[in-house]
Amino acid sequence: MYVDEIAQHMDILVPTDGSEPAEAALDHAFERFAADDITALYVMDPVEGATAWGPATGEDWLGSAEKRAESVLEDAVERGEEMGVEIETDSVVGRPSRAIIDYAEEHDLDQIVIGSHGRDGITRVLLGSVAETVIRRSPVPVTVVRPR
Amino acid sequence: MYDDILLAADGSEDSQAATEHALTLASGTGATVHAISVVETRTAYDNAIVDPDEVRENLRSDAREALAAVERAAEEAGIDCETTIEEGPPPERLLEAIARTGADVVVLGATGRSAFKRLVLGSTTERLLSEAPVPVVVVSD
Repeated sequence: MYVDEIAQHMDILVPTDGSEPAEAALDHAFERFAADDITALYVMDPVEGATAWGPATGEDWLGSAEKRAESVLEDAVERGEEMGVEIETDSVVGRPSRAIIDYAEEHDLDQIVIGSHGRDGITRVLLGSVAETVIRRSPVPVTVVRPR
Repeated sequence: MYDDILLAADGSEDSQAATEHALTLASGTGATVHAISVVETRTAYDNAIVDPDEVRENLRSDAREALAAVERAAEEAGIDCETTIEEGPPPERLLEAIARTGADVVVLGATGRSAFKRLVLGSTTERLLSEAPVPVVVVSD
């Protein structure tokens, strides 16, 4: 009944913001999906760069966001190398949950592996807001990983 | 890949999508899919008007059907599959099943049989997301 839908190979998206849960998600993907294609995605969030005077604007914000993206994604690549897994990386500008879902749709990915919380996650909530929204709206299965 | 995959099967559309995903994960890896269907012993129908034994029997029969569908699909795909029916609160039974089967991942639907689609996650899914000792895969239809 389901056999036709079964694919042997998966394209997997792991959003990362450099947080501990995101690192756990990367490790999980490296450990369990080493033979598949893994893309680490960093979302540059303009709202995060906003100040009390208004949203982030101009090249100052973009420049520093790009630097941060580069360093987080470099860490992800190194983490993969340590486990013998080669990955792709990408970064986009947008609100995190929306950007993650759009990316998965546009690139026809098969699965999202995401950390339970992000960098700004308040640990007393059980699930971070980005993870929760991604779970609710994702067109593909979402694996939620907690730091061990 | 995974060795032991725990699949929560309740026959809902999301749970059918979860079955597909569990079989995809197991496909060609030699992994075993442990499918479990939990019959809730206390339900909204638990009142004096409806005979509780009858309700329970109906729910057990739904659970058997859900598991039979998983078994058929697994057999077609050549995947090892074990099925269990449990009774009680679903989150507790699923958490116990993780320990019992040594599952390294749990696959379940985003919403159960009765939840409003997409507005909220099922309560079982929420409990598992916060309490499961292994990663949880949430699948929507």
